Amino acid sequence: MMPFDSANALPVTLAFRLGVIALTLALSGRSRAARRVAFVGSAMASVVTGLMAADVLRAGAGVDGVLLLHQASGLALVYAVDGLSAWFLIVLSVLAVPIAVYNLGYVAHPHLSGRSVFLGVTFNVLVGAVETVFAAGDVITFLCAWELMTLATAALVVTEHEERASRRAAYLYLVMSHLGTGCLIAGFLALASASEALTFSTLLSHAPTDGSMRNVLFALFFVGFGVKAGIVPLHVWLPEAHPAAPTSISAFMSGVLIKTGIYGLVRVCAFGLGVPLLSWGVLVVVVGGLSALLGVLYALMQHDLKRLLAYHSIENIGIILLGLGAGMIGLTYGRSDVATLGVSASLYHVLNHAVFKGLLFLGAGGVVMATGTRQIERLGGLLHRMPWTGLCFLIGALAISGLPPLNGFASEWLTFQAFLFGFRGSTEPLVHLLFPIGGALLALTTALAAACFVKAFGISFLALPRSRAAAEAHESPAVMLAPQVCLAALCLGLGVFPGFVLGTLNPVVASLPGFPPPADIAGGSMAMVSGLESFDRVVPAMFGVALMGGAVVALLLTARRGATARRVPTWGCGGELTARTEYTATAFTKPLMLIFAALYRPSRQVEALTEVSPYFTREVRYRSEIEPTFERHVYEPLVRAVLRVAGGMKVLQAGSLHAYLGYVIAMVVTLVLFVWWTS
Amino acid sequence: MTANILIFCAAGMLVTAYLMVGQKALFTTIRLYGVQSLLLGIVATTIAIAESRPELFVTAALTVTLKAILIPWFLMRTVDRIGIHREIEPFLSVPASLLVCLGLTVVGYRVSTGFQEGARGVGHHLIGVALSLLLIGLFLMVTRKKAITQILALLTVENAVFLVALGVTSGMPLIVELGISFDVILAVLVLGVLVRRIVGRFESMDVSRLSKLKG
Repeated sequence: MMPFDSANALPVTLAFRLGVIALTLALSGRSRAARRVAFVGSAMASVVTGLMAADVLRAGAGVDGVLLLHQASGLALVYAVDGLSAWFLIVLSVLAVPIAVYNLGYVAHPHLSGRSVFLGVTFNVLVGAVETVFAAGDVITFLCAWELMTLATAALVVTEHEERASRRAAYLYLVMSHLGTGCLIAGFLALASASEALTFSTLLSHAPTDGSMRNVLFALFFVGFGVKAGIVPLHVWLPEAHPAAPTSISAFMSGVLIKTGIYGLVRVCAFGLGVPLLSWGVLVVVVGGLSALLGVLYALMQHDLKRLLAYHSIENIGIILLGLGAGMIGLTYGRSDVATLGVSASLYHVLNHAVFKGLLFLGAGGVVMATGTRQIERLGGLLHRMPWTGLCFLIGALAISGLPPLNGFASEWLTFQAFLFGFRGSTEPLVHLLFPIGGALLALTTALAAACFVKAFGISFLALPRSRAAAEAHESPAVMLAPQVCLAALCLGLGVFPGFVLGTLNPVVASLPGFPPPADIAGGSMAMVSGLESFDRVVPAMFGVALMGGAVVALLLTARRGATARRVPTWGCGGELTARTEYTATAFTKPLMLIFAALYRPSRQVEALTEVSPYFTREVRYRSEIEPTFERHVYEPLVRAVLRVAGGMKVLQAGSLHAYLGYVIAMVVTLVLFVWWTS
Repeated sequence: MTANILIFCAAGMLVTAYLMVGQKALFTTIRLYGVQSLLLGIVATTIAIAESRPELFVTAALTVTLKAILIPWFLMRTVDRIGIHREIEPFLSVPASLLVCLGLTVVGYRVSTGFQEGARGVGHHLIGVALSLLLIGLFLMVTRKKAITQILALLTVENAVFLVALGVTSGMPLIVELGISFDVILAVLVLGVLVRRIVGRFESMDVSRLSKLKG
């Protein structure tokens, strides 16, 4: 092995990042050099962090130390990288390195290059902050890094601050995030009052073991971390903020940033407060199922490529929560194999989602750069013009749809196993009801996701271009393609070698409180063994070969018949085929919109413009929209109520000098009387 | 003898404060403030003689020249120059104000017993008067509309703080006194300028009109 000192890697990389930031700022006049320094430096730092995390997982021993020590007050900011932190740090590095490389090309685009220094610096701050969030050993470090991360993200969301939508998205993000952070601070304060130190290990070991306080803490942390993770119904910021940010940043937000919420849920919420209660697990499963289903259903109706991907992030967070919830419920009735399976599936999906969603966003970024539009209704035929982007996007789409042998299949299969076979051993009827429903929800979600990506890929990349921009698109430069190819290869690799990943995950799961020593669900590097009474051994590579086998057989058959392919134009029923005769994204999803009309509550307007007589229409305008249920029925009343209360309180702040002086004297007299009363 | 002078002067200060509350003419109020400051100077001198602390003479001299002569003169000149009409228009009617001030005096006296020095004797009166004066000064600030009357209220509060210092510790160190005197001069000058600006802009010194500046 190479000589690599993992013990000090984290402070060193953070210091290195600071140096990179300083150098980038110093180069602010020369955007090209600044870009190179910022993103190459960021990639290097992420590589070192990833190696450190891998080293921790391999050695099985955590590293910890002090980031900053304030002598006078004795306040120390400490880091502690254990198995769970290391896993999330690996997820971070796996995505942060390709994104940094991609940014070299992406930020060079004339549209963004004027903001090279801003993007370079803020990206470094963001990645450094997320690294610190995952590695934080005490609450103070954690919360500081958490806030820094939030602020850096908000700054990146308003990169295009001329757009009103960007500013609104950042505002919404900040409001929601601070709601969450408020809950977190309250929760940590409540924990800290019972503990003598602020490190996570001490804090959580002093958590109350029973009573209603435990439920309150769970609720606070669930909301606090859930906002960041984007669970339904706290997800409203996510579909606004993801599309507003530059696409490479959206990839990072979707792949890593929202995982900080999952990290917190796993570390504190799910297993940090003692053995989870059944009700907590049920809540996580219900919220996860809702997030998964609603996320994909709303994604289906989006025709903005980045919004669509953003809604899929909600869906995948839901799938991750489903696995986590199954694990939590498994622990409550002593089925540690179910618990291990569920949590492994959940953590596996964290990595998988980072990889394929990062890949999809990077592809979308290339498309948006090449065509200048995010509306898939204006794309089409891009596969001929951007073959590599198209291929990588296709692989990502297959992976997110859960098709073997790609990585989405592996983690979703494990989640299925937990749901289909995990409830045996429980005496609770609720569990017997919930698990099959959870499995069914997951199945529905996966199928709908596949439908959604048939739409996203088919409409954007196949058939004829629907606009001039799409017709004149060019392939992205190599520096943007290479990261996508790498991520696509990872999609395949993580899917073909699930055993390897599960083997790596074993010590991580075993290090969680309440879990038994490593159980073997790996079954060799290429197979998965759920350990439940089920298909005992699954080799995704074989599935893949079986599926591809069909294609190979077909090829062989046609070759033997000696038939040569005839290239003829598509039959257009005698009419002329143009882009206007194509299937549109709206049309493709119309049946689903009608099936789920109860949820979408679609409304449409058809307006016919006529000139001479009503029988000769010159133009027909069609507008169809779905009702934003959560915004309209949850958040709008809430916002109205808050504004009403604020309006009432504005009376106090009347802007009158005399009133303010009056408050002062009233306060003084009250205090004086209070002193009098108590003495 | 000393005690009698102290109590007489302190009581006099309280009386001037009450008169300020009840007075409607602007010039008289300024003169009342001068009288109040003069009484404060006498208190300082008396303590200086009784406890033979020469540095208190400087304080007393400062107080008298500055607060009893210079500041009233400056304020009257300001009022003269801007030529506003010289009636005070309080928010609260005079009888009601007097009643509130009575209550504030009770509170001030009652609180003064909380101090070690204020439990009995001369100190009791000095601190009691000072705290009442402080509260009355704050009250004046709340109820008066004109900027000049608010300056006077602020100066009354400052006098009260001075009196507390004399009552509790027999005077602050000289350097602190000098600093405070300097502060008072600056405050009056700045406020004097401010008053002119307000009058120039709004043709009135009614501070409550400032709320129109609110966006």
